[in-house]
Amino acid sequence: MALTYTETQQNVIQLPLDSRAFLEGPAGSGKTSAALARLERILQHVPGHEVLILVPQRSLGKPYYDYVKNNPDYRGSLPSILTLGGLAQRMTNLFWPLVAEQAGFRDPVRLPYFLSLETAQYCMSRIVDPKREQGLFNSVTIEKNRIYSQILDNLNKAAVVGFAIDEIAARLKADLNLEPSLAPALDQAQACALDFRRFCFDYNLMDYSLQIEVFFKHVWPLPHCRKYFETFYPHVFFDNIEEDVPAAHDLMQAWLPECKSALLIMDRQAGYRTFLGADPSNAEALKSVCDRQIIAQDTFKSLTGMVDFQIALTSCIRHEPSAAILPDLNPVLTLKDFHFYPEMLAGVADEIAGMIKNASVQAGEIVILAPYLSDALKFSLEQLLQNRNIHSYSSRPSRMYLDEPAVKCVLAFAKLAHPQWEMTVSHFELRDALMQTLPNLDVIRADLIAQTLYAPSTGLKSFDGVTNPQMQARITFAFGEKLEQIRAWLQTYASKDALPLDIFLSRLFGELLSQKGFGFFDRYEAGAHIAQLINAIKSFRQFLSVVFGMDEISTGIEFIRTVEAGLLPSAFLNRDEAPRDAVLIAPAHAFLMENRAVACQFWLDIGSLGWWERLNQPLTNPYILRRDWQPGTVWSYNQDFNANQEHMQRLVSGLLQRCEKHLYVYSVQTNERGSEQRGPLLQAFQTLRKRVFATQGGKDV
Amino acid sequence: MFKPRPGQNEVINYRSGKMGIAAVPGSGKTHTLSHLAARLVASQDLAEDQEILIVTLVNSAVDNFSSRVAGFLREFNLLPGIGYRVRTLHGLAYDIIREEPAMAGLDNHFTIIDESAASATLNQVVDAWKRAHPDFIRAYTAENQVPEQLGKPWNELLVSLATSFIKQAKDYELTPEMIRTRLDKLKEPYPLLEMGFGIYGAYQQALKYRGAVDFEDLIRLAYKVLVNNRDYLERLRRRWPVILEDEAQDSSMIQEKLLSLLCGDDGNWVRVGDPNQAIFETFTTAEPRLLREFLEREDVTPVDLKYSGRSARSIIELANFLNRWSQQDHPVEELRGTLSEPYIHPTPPGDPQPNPPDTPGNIIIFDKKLQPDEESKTVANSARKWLTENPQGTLAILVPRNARGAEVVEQLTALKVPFLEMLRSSKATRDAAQALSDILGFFAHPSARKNLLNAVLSIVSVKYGKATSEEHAKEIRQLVNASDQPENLIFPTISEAISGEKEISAEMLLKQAAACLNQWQQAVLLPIDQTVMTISMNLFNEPVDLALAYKLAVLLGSAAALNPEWRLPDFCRELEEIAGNRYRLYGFSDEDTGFDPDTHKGVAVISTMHKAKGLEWDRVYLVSVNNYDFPSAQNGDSYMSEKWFVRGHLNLEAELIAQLKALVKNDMVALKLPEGQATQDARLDYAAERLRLLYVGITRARRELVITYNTGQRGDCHEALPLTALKDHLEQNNAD
Repeated sequence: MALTYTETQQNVIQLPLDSRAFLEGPAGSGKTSAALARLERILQHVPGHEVLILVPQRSLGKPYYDYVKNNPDYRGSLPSILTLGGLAQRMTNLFWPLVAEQAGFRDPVRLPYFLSLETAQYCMSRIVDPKREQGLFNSVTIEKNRIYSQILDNLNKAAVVGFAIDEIAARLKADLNLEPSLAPALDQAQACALDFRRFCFDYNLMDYSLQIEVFFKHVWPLPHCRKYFETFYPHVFFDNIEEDVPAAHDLMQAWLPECKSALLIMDRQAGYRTFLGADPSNAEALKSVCDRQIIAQDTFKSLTGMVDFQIALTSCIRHEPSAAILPDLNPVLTLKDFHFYPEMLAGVADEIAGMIKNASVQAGEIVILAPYLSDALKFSLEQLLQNRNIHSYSSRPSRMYLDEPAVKCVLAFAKLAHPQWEMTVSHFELRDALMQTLPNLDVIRADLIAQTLYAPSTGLKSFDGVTNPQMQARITFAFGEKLEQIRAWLQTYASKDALPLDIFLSRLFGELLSQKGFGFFDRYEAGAHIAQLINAIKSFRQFLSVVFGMDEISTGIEFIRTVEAGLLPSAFLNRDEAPRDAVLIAPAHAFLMENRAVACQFWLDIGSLGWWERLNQPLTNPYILRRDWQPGTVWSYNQDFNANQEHMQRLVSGLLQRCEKHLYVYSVQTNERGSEQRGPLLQAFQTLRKRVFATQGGKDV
Repeated sequence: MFKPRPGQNEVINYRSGKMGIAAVPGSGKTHTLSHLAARLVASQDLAEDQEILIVTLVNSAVDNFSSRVAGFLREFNLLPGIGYRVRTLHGLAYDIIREEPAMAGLDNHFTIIDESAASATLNQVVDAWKRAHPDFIRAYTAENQVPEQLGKPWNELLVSLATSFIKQAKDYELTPEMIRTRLDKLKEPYPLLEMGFGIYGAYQQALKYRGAVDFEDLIRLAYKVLVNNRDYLERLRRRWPVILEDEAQDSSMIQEKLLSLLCGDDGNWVRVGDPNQAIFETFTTAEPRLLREFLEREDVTPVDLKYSGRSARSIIELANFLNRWSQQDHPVEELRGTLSEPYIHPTPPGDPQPNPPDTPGNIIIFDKKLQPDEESKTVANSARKWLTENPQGTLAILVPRNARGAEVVEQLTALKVPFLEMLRSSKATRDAAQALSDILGFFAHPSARKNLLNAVLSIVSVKYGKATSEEHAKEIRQLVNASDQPENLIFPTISEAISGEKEISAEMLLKQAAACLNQWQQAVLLPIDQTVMTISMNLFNEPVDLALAYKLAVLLGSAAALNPEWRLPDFCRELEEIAGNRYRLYGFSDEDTGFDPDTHKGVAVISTMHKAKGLEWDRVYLVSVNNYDFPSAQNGDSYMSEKWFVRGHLNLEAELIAQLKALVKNDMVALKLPEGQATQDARLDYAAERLRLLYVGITRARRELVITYNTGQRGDCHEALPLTALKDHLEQNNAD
């Protein structure tokens, strides 16, 4: 079916091919649709590889990925859909020989190693941990993983905002809200940041901050780089510019005058990633570099009631007077209060089940949002929905893949197969691994096997060697036979040289565990988790052996040690494409970053301060580490308060603009930890109820 | 419709300024304060973004206040739940810090460790400290004892000493570093203070390492945050223009400072309390003198709520006699200020709550020397008889200590008297935790037959509870014990369809339990919080059980994060601790769901006298009123804080806290007082607290009161001194 476009959209699509346009408008005004149509038009005239589509994060590039996937009818190669980080990495890699030495890398002849979030944290732990042992960071109450991530965050902010990394502590000390005894910790974090940077130079490592810095300082000024841009990126699309960092805007500022065409798209009411460094006001400055400005005002989908509700709620957040008579909110809003947390979750699941049963809404048109999505919350909701035969998925997978039973199982076998590593397999590990490996093995018999046939000093003994016939009968000969096969495989492996861990696991899985008669024979999901594990180990092996010259066998030991010490925090399960017929369970911010509208939203935990506050981290501050921060000024409580108010208002408006039919707000008196919270969003809803009650003669929402 | 009495009127017409209210037991202070809160919410002066802040002592009072204020607001045709906030002090402190964690040096995912985790941490720290300081133990062990044989008692004492020290230090806003600085300035060594400092320092370090704070930190940090951040303080002052504080007699120094700061010099603050009911004083940081001093301040309007319709006149008269006797005739001069006016007055004629009528012999002081078990038996028998005759009546047996409660429970169980425990953690918490612990215990060691039986019986009890009998349990035991291969009962190698039989039999129950265990065995491979949630969703139906299980899951999840090496047996142990009454679970207990004695008619409620505060029953037993549980600073009285294995029977807790107080005040004279002086002083404090506890116990009774005592474990105790006075008074009255 051919799409119809509004007049504004038509204007955008039909812009001359050499124009640089700045398109702004609220969510739902069809900006991205117009951009896609324009992209199609441009691709009719130029090869795909001449187009750069820049987005602040991968999820915001989805419409473009989908377009490319579904429209293979373009000339030449694919357009590049990149984030600033991806672009910087690509360029730095390409021009490495020209810049490595002047950038300060110790071994410019060797290629750089680009650090992922996990490997960057791993490196940071090597800087921070010895200092912590000496008593540094004593004044701050914080988990160690958060120390690593906050120091890395400071480095990243310095790079994307454009200040020197030795200014971090001095800036952060301008925060009047900080606990005074934290000052030494800021200096210590500063020292760690500098050490980390030296560490990167010494080992040719590039974390995100260094990628950005090297790109801007050394790569971008190269004539070759400009030439490359002229050849490959003469046509630019830059969507959601308000969600991107100043460095991305800087790049556009410099490239726009030289490129052939550009379309920059901004939602002035958005800016949800400001805590992550996004800078909407800086984005707006790009308007002046464009030769055309277009404003899209029409919104397609919102119900009038929803708009009225949004206005009413916003006035409550701001403590401003509402309209004299408030509209009837019942068609668009349901407020429910529960005593206990699980009651509330069951209430959500029941409501959704009812909606789907009545066929009033499809599962894919429903989202459940909370400010933070704890593992417990996500897991419970998934279970409750599953019990009602409703599919759901999450934008934040609940479990690290390392927590997956299948992953734990193969790691236990890895330790069992390598007694020389001196890593003990506990009774429980073996028992759980056997239950995974031998189909239908129950917990009692698995326990008997572990007790009878295993000791950490001797490993797995032979079933045939069990002298007690009654015990053999209890374990059963069927399982005994399978155990013998496992033992035989392990013995054969032990008779040869050890393999790197990832290769060992590939063989174990392929030759034994996935064979018919064993537990992973037809378990594709478990297989996918093991594949993810093998990939992670492989990249860890490459990282450690390339960077630190560690031998390949030791990298496996180091991987398991790191995992068991809880140092690989952010490796979650990979997920394929989001299912269409499933309810989305997500943190509110993550849903906004999907940038799509749904029929119904459920807001949970509205008493939580998470709707209002920034992620408060003692060793960093997104406001002070901004570009418009004036050195020498201070950050006061009132500024912080107002920023939070502003943030909540943006968030609420953004969500409501993406809600087409009905909002369900479920609050709970006792939260999941057993305490009551009364954050500003709950208070705003209470004010709204009070106003409705007062103006509508005692009628509650 | 609320019809105020004299005194109550003055309170509910309060609009601004500072007011101090001394309220006698049963004077309706909660009701009055709730009404005041509702009136203030309804007033035009309160802006949309403002709230009346009500601060109470315990969680039960939070629910109680919330529902009462809500009720009054409905009467005023206003929306309940809006315009006021009811919090315990810890809850309030949490709100303050949680809103601005950076000001306290925390990130917004900071953890508050529960009592069990705090205790586990402290135990580890104490253990390490003890090993490193054998000289300390040797120096303080009694000469006739062998220190090496006193491992457990010394560990328990050190934990208790450290707990008090840390609480007190936090109340004085002292960090370990500040204590170190002060200690370094002293010329002589102070081993007790060094011990306190050493453990406190290591404990705080352990908390920081885990990104956690404990409950005491909350208040200390909240105060510090407000002192350091004027703008934030101003915003909170605007948000909470009036503070209503209940149970102010139990306020600690830091609590008073925090509320005083929040209120401001010209702010509005109403404090209600009864100095005669200050029973949390000894070795807590509560200071009843603070309320007395507040009541006497010039800028405070004092009000007495002296009318009470709770008890029969004779019981009121007995309580007033105790008050008067202690002021005028107590043989120990220093204890004469323990209780004070106002006396309790019966309600005036026409009051909606007239006092219950007196009946002959409604006060019994059982004047017979009984062994502890005889006393328990006597009380249990008497309670059984009374409950049979008064099936609609409410009855409580109040004990001075948890351990005594357990002995009474044993007797009640033997006599098959229906009873309900209100001891440390609630029964609901313990039941849910116990069931989960039994099930996880099975999965931890499934080949142990005992674990299998426990799990099966727990499942049966939760799922079929009322429909099953002891006979069923017995048969299930026989079935499991008779099997050579119990795994075949639970996980048969040839699958057997579960029949749809509806008749409840041992076989059917066993099959159902087996089906559950079968279903859950895959869940046990998940992370512990998810394991617990999966099992719970399948096992429990009651909202409160589910909520408890959810909390337990989150708790175990945090424990797993803190202790990555933990396996199922460790989690079971944690649940056992909760189930076994050793730890209270913050956020959930009967305390939190609001205990209402009137909903437990016809059963004997067992409670400590401390926990009974604020509650009332038709008939109340006060047991163990002897000179051990209620000493009066007389020769021959013994004190549980003076340990038998400690040199010179020193009360080390008292000695330590006295030294800490002297250190805070830089009072070198106090610091150099001879050893033993603080032990003596503590006897007076303890005697005073126990006297007030007796007063609280008496005033729990509506119609009938029975007081008994026992001769103690060694047979050398006698009736408490105040009990003798009460008995003589009663005999005199009867003679008259």
